Amino acid sequence: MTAADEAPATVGGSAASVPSARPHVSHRGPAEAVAGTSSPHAIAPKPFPRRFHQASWDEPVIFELSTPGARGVLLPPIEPGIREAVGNPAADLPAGVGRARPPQLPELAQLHVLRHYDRLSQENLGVDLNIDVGQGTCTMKYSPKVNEGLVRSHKLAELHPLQDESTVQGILELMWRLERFLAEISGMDRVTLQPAAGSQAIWTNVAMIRAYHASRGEAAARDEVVTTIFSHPSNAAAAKVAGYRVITLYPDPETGHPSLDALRAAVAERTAALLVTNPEDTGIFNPEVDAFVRVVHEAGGLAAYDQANANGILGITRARDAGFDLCHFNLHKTFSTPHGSGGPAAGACGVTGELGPFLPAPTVERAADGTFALDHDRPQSIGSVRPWYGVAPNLVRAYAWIRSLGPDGLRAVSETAVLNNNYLLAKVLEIDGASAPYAAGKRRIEQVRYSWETLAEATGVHSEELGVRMADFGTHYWTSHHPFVVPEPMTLEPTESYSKADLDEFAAMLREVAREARETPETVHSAPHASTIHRIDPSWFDDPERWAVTWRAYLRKHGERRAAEAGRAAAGVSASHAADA
Amino acid sequence: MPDRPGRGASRHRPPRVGLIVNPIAGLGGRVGLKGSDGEGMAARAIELGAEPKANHRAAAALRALVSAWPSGLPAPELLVAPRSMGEDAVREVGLAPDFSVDVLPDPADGPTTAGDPTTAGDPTTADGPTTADDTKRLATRLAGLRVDLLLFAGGDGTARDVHAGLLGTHAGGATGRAANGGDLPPVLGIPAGVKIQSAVYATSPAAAGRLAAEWLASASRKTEEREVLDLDEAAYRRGEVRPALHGYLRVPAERRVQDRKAPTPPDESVAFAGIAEAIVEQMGRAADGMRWILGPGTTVRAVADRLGVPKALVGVDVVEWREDGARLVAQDGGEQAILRALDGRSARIVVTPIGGQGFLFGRGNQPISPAVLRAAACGRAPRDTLIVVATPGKLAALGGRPLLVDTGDDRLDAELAGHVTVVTGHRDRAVIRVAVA
Repeated sequence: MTAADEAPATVGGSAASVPSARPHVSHRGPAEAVAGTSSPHAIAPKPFPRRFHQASWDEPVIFELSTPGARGVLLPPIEPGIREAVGNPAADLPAGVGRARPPQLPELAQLHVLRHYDRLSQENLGVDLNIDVGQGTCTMKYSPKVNEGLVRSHKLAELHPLQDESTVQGILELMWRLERFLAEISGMDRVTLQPAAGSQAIWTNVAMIRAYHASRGEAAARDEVVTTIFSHPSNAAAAKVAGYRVITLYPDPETGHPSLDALRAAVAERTAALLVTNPEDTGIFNPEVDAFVRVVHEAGGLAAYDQANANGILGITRARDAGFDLCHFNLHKTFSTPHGSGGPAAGACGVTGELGPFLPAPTVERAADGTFALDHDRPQSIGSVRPWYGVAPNLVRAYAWIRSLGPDGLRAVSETAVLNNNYLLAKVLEIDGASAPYAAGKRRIEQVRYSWETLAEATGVHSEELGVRMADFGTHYWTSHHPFVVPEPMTLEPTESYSKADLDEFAAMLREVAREARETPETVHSAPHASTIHRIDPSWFDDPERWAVTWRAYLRKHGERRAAEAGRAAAGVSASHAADA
Repeated sequence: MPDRPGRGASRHRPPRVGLIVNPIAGLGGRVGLKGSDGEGMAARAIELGAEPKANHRAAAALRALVSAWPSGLPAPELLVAPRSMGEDAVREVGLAPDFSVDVLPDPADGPTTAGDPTTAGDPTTADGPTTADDTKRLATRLAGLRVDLLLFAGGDGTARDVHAGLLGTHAGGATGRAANGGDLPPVLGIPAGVKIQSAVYATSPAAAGRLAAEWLASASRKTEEREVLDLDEAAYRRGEVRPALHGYLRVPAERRVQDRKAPTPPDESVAFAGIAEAIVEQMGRAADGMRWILGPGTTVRAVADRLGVPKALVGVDVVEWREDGARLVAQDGGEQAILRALDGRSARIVVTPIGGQGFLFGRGNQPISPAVLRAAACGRAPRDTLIVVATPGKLAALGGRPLLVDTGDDRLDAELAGHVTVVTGHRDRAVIRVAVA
């Protein structure tokens, strides 16, 4: 929650000298260390900006660290009695299942594995380490550590999804109750916790939409989905994966959200659904959203509410109250579970009673006698979207978080997040060169998509470069999805977790970087100077001949020579070793 | 095609960079003359107190180029136009000795032709007049010297002159059509003029210098084709914005810093391919023998490429679709040729808005006249014959502004206004507002 801390005393005082434009040179001279001597920190001065420097271990890929024959665990020999009793268990495997050669896994001792991953962990930023308001749309909030104790408890950690239901009544009850909480928060009748991520939850909703129309014989006739350019692109992506054609609405230049007329031009008898985020990624809430839903309903389509951006509306407005048929939450955003960096996170889909039959199977049901069971017998279900039933540890975290706050606490979360956001908005708009396009003078909900267009035109410094330079202060920010509808974008989402001092420090860092863009642009262009890596070459991501997501693919595309060049002596061994395979 | 790779950075050969400055560019702006094109305009601007700024802007770009040049690479060789057309800017910067500078001979010493009446300059500097013809001749010359990149400082008129010069012709004026930027050396504009409609300019002199350095130093040297647009300045002074499409030039593709959360935006060519696929599928569903009018631009050219028919990049073509393939019925036709090609039958019209401008009709595709639009519609609403295509990037660059129509027929413009569905990819559409210009 926001503390009433005072702003740091030394904001923007420009004690900082110009950092070197070259990498690998410390960007803060010792002279600055005395800059704060008049502050209360006379013994250990803390000038602004903080003299951050991140670890840079120059760590090779783990395959390059491999030493043939090295082992983390030496297994004891099998005792003769066991050998006699069991025989050779591999003998019964069908031919063709066994490998002719062992897999090319890296071979390391335990210390070297641990050291490798500890080093990598020091080369990261995360919500527990930096003022993580820059990862807009991701809702980076504090995940209470007490909940980690709950999920590490053997009571949860040692459960197995194949256990008899009578032995897992506790977790089933927790899931059932969490579903009821989310139903209450969204106004929906039924909820599933099966998806492991937000995009998978969107996909689940699209699959239910498709099943609904199919049940009415309209699957082929309704082949279009309408979304907006400021809704998360996973909406368009999930619709396309399901075979839909996607119609995207662009914002009205004044209001920042699409007009009803644009929606009417897009909706037709072919419309299967509207998939929309609200507030959109701009932080602007579409006040006509109920009318949008009506237009789609009148055409026979369904309306699905992407509530990944729900952190500003908990207890204030509900998907069902605007007429939506489906919605989804990202438990790893609004409900405080870890993001998992690509999974497993947790998504939750809410639907009206009419769509209940199409929910993924199994569902968690409570019997008349108060016991809980998984119901697999759901003939109209879209089927399972994920093995078993959801990411249980995250469901426990979300449940604990909601219980710790209660209804009033959830509303306070949103009010605080909105207050924090509008405070930061005011601070950022004081910076010369920053703006918040659309809806001039209006407040935003929980995040803002800013623009550095004026600054970029004056200095030639792009928003991405400013974001990279922020890494030299121990933080970062994200621009936006592509295409950049807001030019030179920056998306900030200060959730309820950050103090006023945090927001002041972040805004002061932005102001400092913007000042550098005007006065010493080369400092920004050549950033980062104090971060783990300098720059990556993004052209690799455009080039199938070069990109590689596995070591094997890397060796195949770049060859033994390249691998040997890149690595140390160990790499040469590993590469020739792998090339034999 | 977009993204034609250049020769790429070599660790051995210094890149060769040409520089042309239109010294009178931008003169008319601050004194309210809306540009310096046209007889007497530059002199009039100077009388009103305008100071030539183009050389300072070119110098700012050079400074950014030098400061962004990677230390490990051999410094570029600069081939600059003499005196106020480039040399002065280089002197203002005071380049380090590792940047070699060659000053080209005075273009006026070469064979002369009459000054182009649309963009001829006036005496502005002590060393004599510079004209649009000088720009053209210098561009031709630098292309012959095989520059890796041609930098030029000016406005839309300058871009047009550079384009004409690179085509090796002085006839590249308002009706120039041979304009395939894909075969010309890459260029990059340093904005110094009053009006910058052309998409071949960087956003600022510093941005131009930086982009030039990064691009020359990159291994791939990817380029993109961008529109050369110019307003009719006489009309502009009367308050009418009438940009015309003169052609395309290849410019360095900007390599932006990779985002941590969003994937790299797909190449423009990926979007083009998706759009072309969508249109060709639509052709397949239409009646055999249907005529398709293809407007100008690289997006529509992708459709023609997919069909395997030639396309006039700055002109209008008509193709006939049959199950066994597409056939060109009219190439680079004027209004009458298109009407003849329709032969009284209904047709569909594939058009793309002019990048950054949003003009759907009335700029660059005038052969698709009100008569053509009505003939293609065959009594139905003209907007029902339209298939608007645009990449998502092009729509984003509109910044929420509507697409514009200015066919010259007020009633038709009113009929075309409203919301239109734009094909943005294979299974992607957008709904965009169309307004009367």
